[in-house]
Amino acid sequence: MSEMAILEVDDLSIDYLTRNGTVKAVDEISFSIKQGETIGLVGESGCGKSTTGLAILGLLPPNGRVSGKIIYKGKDLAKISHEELRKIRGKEISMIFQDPMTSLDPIMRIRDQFFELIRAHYPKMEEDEMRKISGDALKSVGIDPSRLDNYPFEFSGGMRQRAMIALAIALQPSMLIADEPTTSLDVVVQEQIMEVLRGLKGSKNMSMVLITHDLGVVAELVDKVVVMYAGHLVESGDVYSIYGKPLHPYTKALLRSIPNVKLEDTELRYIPGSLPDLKNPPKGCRFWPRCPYVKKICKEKEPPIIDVDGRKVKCWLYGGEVNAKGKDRTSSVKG
Amino acid sequence: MQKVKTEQALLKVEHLKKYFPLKIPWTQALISRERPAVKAVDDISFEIKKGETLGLVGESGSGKTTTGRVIIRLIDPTDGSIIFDGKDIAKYSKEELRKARRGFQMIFQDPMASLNPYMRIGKAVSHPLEIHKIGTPAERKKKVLSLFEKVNLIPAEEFYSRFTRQLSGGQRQRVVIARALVTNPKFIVADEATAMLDVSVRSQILKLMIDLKEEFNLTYLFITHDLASAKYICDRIAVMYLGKIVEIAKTKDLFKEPLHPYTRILMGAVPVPDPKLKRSKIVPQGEIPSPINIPTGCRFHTRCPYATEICSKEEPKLVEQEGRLVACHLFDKKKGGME
Repeated sequence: MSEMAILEVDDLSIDYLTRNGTVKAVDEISFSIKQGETIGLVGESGCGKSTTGLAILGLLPPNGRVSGKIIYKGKDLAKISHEELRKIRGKEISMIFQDPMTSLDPIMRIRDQFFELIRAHYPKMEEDEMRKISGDALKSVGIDPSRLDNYPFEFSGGMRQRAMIALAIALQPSMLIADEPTTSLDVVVQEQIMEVLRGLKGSKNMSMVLITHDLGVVAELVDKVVVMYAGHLVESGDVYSIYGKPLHPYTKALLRSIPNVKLEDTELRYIPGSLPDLKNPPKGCRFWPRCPYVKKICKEKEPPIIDVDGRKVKCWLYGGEVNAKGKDRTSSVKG
Repeated sequence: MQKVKTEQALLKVEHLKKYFPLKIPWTQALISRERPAVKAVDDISFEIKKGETLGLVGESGSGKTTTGRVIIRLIDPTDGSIIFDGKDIAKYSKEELRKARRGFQMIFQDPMASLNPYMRIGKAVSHPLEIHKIGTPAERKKKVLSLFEKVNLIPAEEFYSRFTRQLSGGQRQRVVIARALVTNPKFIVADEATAMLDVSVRSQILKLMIDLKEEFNLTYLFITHDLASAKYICDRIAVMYLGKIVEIAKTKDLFKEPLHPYTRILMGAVPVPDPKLKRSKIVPQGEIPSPINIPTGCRFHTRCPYATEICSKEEPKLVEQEGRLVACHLFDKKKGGME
């Protein structure tokens, strides 16, 4: 694996301007992805993970404001023109969305959706060649190329999601952003889609950003994990150490709350309370109202990002004036 | 709870069928003897005891949602009986049904689609009371407020006048649960009630449903594709494939040793949050076949890794196997099958 980062996100902040004030969706997050590496961007709904994915491709809604750097192969995607970005989208970096039915055009044949993409980047390509590229892409996700002439409604949910993936990889991008690619699917189809993604990871040396709230899916696919909470990066590191020994109280709670199929595990755990209002986030650490280890300093000062054993964690427990010991709180907290 | 009470079946479903006939040209209708149909539910029988939670598990397209809807007569069954509390509601008239509906309610998957965006949630939850003409407006409001507290929508008074768009996904699902409980039902069909929610919120809602069941003496039919969620809430689980039940067992037994190959596949498909674990997975082959042309013999034989010759010829019956029911030739000892 080459050591050069293909994408470097540096102090990225994203605000949404709304009538009722500014929503700080993402607040100074940094991470990087190497060639062939897969990272998981994990957190609950509303933590800013999808916003981060959209910002990389410059797809934020008009009220979104970006600051910080998104360096892709030496170019800052946050600064370049729309025209330059358009050349990168779909060819260099492409994206898969959660709901395949709303992301495929229902009245266009699958073939034409491929052709539209290919023509946007290679306007002079012959139809035969476009057909070959499209067919190969479909084949690589396990769909027979003869299905190119079908409409999306002739596909099942799982096939639509595979067709989405085929579209995303048709032009052999070096990076794929997958935003909750399996969330609307049932477990069996989810397993099949994960198999496809695993295959892409192995054969094409593609870098991947997997955005999901499902830590089970993350564990099976990624090399590195970035955990986000309310727009902050709270912990990042390689997948083995994060699952083996989570540091941040939020990561711990999130891992404990996953339902599993182990027979002996019958206790249902969850994180009390809910995400804070991002128009008016709590002072200090954004997780303190739900944190069992909360200290006085947590409510007053935002914790810095601390390096612990090659990992990053944003928590007062691991540095500064506070000792690394806390006790479980018994009362629940109102979100 | 008294022992006698728990042994009684609250709901007994027998040979339930639901076919959706297909539209065919009249020229074809003249010559063909049988109208083609989507056989969504094809002869299933089970019972749910008072105070019990039965899980109904399967892939999309296995007929589990249709089963849930037919049971509370949101759609009419093609054949079979639905004995609820001693009476066959499959044959009830519209008027009888409307009265009986107080006793059974449904929680739907998508809370945004099952709540009116222009109705304040207090009004939405008290609506069933108005329809059934229960109580005075003041009593209704009191009832709704007390339910809001039970489902943790606090402060209740403040939530009463909110709109759905002002709520988070988890809160919306709490509203839908409160609405299902407002008429004091005995039985609730929860159709993928937690599928659209985040992992941590999902656990919160599951916990809430378990607590409410204790408090209100409820009986649940819990429909889901996620075996992991089912494990925490269900007493027994029925696994459904292509309109048929292939296995019914106590939750503990099912998780200890799934018998039917399909159950094993479903179990193996649940992602495990441990990157070190290399699982020996049986990756499911292909997709669920069309319910119009159901495969001959065992419906699952086209995707089953253990399929033998008999599987494509003869449909296995749901037979008892160590105190549980399974429909698979592998376990049909009388026929001299394997194991």
